[in-house]
Amino acid sequence: MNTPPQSLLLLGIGGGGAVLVRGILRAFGSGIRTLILDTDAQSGGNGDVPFALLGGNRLAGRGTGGQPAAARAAFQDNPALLDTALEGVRTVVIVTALGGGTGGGATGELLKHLHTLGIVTLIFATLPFAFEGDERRRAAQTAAGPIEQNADVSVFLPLDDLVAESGTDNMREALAHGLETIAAGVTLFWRVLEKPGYIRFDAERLRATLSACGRGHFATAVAQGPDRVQHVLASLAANRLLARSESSPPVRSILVGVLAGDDLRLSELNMIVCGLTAAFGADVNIELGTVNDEDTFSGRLAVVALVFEQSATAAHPAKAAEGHPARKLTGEHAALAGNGRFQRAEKTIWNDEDLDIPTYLRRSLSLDR
Amino acid sequence: MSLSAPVAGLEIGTSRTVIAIGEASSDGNLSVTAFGSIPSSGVRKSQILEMTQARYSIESVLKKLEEQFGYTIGHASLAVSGPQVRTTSMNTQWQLERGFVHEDDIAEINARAEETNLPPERTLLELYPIAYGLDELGSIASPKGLNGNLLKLRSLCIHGATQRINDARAAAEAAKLEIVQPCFAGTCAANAVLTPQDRREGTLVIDLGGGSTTYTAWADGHLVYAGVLGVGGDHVTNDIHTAFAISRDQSEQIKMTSASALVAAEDGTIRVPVPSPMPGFKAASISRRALNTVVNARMQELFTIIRSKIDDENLLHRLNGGIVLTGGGAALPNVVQLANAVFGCGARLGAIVPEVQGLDKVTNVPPFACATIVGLLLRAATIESKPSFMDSFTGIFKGFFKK
Repeated sequence: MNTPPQSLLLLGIGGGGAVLVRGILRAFGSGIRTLILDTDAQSGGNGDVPFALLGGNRLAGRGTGGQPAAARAAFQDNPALLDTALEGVRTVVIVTALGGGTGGGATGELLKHLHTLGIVTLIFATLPFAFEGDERRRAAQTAAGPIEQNADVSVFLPLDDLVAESGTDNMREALAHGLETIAAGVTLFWRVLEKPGYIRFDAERLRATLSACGRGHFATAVAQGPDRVQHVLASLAANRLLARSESSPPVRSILVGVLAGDDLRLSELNMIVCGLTAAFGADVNIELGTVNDEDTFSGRLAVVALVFEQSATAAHPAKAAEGHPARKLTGEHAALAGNGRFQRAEKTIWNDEDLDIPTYLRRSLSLDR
Repeated sequence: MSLSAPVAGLEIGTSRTVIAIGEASSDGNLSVTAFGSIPSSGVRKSQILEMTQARYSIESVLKKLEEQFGYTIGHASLAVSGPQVRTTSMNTQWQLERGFVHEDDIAEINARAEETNLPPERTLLELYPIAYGLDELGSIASPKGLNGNLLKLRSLCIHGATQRINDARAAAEAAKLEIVQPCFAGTCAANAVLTPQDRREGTLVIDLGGGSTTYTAWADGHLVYAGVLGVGGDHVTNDIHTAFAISRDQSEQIKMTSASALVAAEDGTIRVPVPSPMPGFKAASISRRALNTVVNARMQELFTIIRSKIDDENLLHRLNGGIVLTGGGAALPNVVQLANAVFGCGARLGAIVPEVQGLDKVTNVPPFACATIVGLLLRAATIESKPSFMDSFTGIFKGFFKK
């Protein structure tokens, strides 16, 4: 079999994306395949990170002036701009900040292009602070639509919620914490792939898990000491990024990374799985990966959770109904109808029934447990 | 006995990507000389969703064939399946000038049928004559010499979505493999397991694939009905995954090792262990009755849908040769018994026709699960070597395949 090149790429889009990529590199160290894409030549910095200038002819490297349309047009001028840089890439993790020009305008277009190339995409996008005003909030909301439409996994992180977790009112410290949270989440993927522990989470399993999952939520927690698992679980439960209400759809699956030193115990893993099951329901599917890194995590336990709701599937409810008006699916059926497995394939309809939904559910068969 | 140049077949399935190579001999036999497969990814319902993965899969199988069997191939026939394949019944007419049916008239009406204009988004895969008619007479197998004025031909047109076929072609070409001929997977599977006698007696071949199920009905020696349903073994795995909240890997493993198409009385007392992600985790298990209830519901529904389609065509009474099951899904325990119960006639696993040899020397995969790729090789040999090779598989309709 041919050996493909490093198949994961971390891609920062816009000025915010550039900041996030550099923060992640500081958190992780070397060894990540990265790229920054921006309309502002200054984001290239001193060449420390591979950089691609978007819209060089149209914008002359001066940025968009906060105009998403300019970035969108710049990408449409040359959609194959990154194709060489994407050689061998099968999964792209994108980080960006919405509310501005390049991140808001170019990201949706790029995701469309990546989709046509068959590349799985996971995006972490921050949403502006409330105090930044309605205009930026609306711009972010407008940008979020095409992103959610075209990404396999999209995680939107309101900056207000990110900094609220910092426990400080100091702006510098709060922003640093927010950046650290995103960096921790993204770093998970490289750590679990590059330094797998006893439960291996390889690139193919990651792809299979993430493909067409829809909108996700994520949070991290770190603790040490004899009760570190309880502290981690309590921290996750209290995290605003995972906050749930009665109207929230049930959680369908959780991607969990457990990062620890050589002292990680089986009973701790068991407690984490049981704790998450208790918190999110017995039907939740938990995909677990571990990292055993004594140098980085000696004595500490870090958990990063990426949570997908059943309705994430229904992130595109209109799509599910396209061309098949006969049967209106509701509740659990509707959630399962596009559970990711068959979401991107042509639906199979017979006598107005969606055959992609498990038969036992459509027949309401009771199962022994 | 001389061997012709090797022919190759490519099947990009939902579960596996397979390439096989065969060599036809002058006595009408085919020797399978190489077989390579790897699990597919990025394919759903037999359709490519991720081009890069499909290309890698094909490249990997090609590499395997080269390393394991010493073959380097540049072109292959392609098995086309999935719900994008459709069948259309067509009627063609030809005015007789001589007052009786001359063999030139038969050739002419066949040629006219082949000139069918499909819209550009559809690609003709195969065209099969079902029956001739003459004036008020219908269902004539061989009209040559009969008196009349208007010759009619009813034929079955099998066509696929041009874009989907082009996706597969592009993936193959990116892996430096040229596609010479797209063929319908359903008739390929039937080619591999039906004898001329089976076709005469009337047989339904159901190929249970990973992403879709194809079916072809044969009667009086020729194809009379065909179709594809976008439901396959992948759905069974997904149903288990959904029912018991276990991973897809675990669900697939349980399906392969513990599931049954029928629910037995004793299942209620048996627990099926769920493979653990690692030692030390609390042991888990699921009810065997629940597992088989989930699997049975899906498989029974699948067969019932096909049965209803066969009933709509009023074909069941013509299937005296029974039901033949092929494809990876046919390995599910008790699936033959379930088919027997749903269709009410004898069902069996497909056995590769005696004209094909050597399959067991190149793969451990059960023969019935290789039917599509073997049938594709037979088709490829028909196309690439000599016309007479087709005779054993297509009877009186030789020369009627779309080239």
